[in-house]
Amino acid sequence: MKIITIDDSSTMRRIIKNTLKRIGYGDEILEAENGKEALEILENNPVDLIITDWNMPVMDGLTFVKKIRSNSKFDDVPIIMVTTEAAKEDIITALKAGVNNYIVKPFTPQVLKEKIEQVLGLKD
Amino acid sequence: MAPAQDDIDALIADFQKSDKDEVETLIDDFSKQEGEKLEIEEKEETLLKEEAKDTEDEVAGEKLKGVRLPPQEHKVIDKLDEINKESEEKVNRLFEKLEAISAEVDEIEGLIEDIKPFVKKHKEFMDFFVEHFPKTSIKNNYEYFKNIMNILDEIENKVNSVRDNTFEAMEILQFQDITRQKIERVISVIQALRDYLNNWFASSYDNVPRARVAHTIVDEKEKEKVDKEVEEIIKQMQRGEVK
Repeated sequence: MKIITIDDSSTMRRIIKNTLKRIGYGDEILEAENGKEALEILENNPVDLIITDWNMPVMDGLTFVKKIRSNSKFDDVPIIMVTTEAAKEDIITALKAGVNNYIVKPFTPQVLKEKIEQVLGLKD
Repeated sequence: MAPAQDDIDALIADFQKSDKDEVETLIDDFSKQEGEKLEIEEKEETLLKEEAKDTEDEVAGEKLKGVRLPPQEHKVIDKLDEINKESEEKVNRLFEKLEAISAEVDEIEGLIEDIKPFVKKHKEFMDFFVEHFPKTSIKNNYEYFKNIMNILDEIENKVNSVRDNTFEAMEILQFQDITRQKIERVISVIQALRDYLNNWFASSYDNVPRARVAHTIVDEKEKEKVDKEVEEIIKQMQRGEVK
């Protein structure tokens, strides 16, 4: 399974990468610092799952999600947003933009595993 | 002989004239004196103002005594950015060490896995011998061997424990990103103040592109509650209950 993790924090990218390996999704993990870089990577590297932060410079996660969802090439790729934003209206905004699942930082490997299984249709 | 009216009038006129001149002279004198007085007062006032200013400066100087003004290169936003960068670098170094520990743990586990089949075979062999030749000295060796096997199991448990602790330490490092975003929020407030002051003084400056500032950062105590809320909102969205 090919996954891209998008976060401006190199620490967070490392944590997500390690967690993915630990929970059995570490086959191929791509990394991007922001939405713009992710779009460039995705042009030539289709993925099975996108894990993105919200607050990033250059292009934030929400703009990125909207762009992805408006592109027929990627409109069905599952997206999980991992962010510090915990307000109800923010969660609804993200879900309306096309995010499939939402995780508030800090997260545990169990939570990430469950959310991945949910978006991949492996779990209710 | 009483003076005639004309003489009286003339006398009064003379008196009035002389009186007027006198008054004018008096006024001139008074003005001169007042002018001099005013000049003196102005001078005194200036002097007093100067003295007061000196006192104010002295007071201000007194107030600033002991206050170390930040040096030019010590700008708050730059400094906070620097702190963020430094903390991320340090956390990444820490992460590298944890990854190295994790890799070594994997190697140890690999070695244990490598020797396990041999140990298993050897045990089967010894089981066979002990069963068929119970009186031979191999039985003592068998006891030693069982100890070695127990130690091997213990090593395996310890290896798993080190791996779990390493991963847990990695998870805890998420605090760096959360702290960074908290600092970003402080920076945004300082920037807003800077914008306000810059507009006020009609100054200009370069803006560094920044990430959108986090609106809400969950307190650790509320995390469980928030996770449940997220789950509920997602379910409501899926059921079409949220418009």
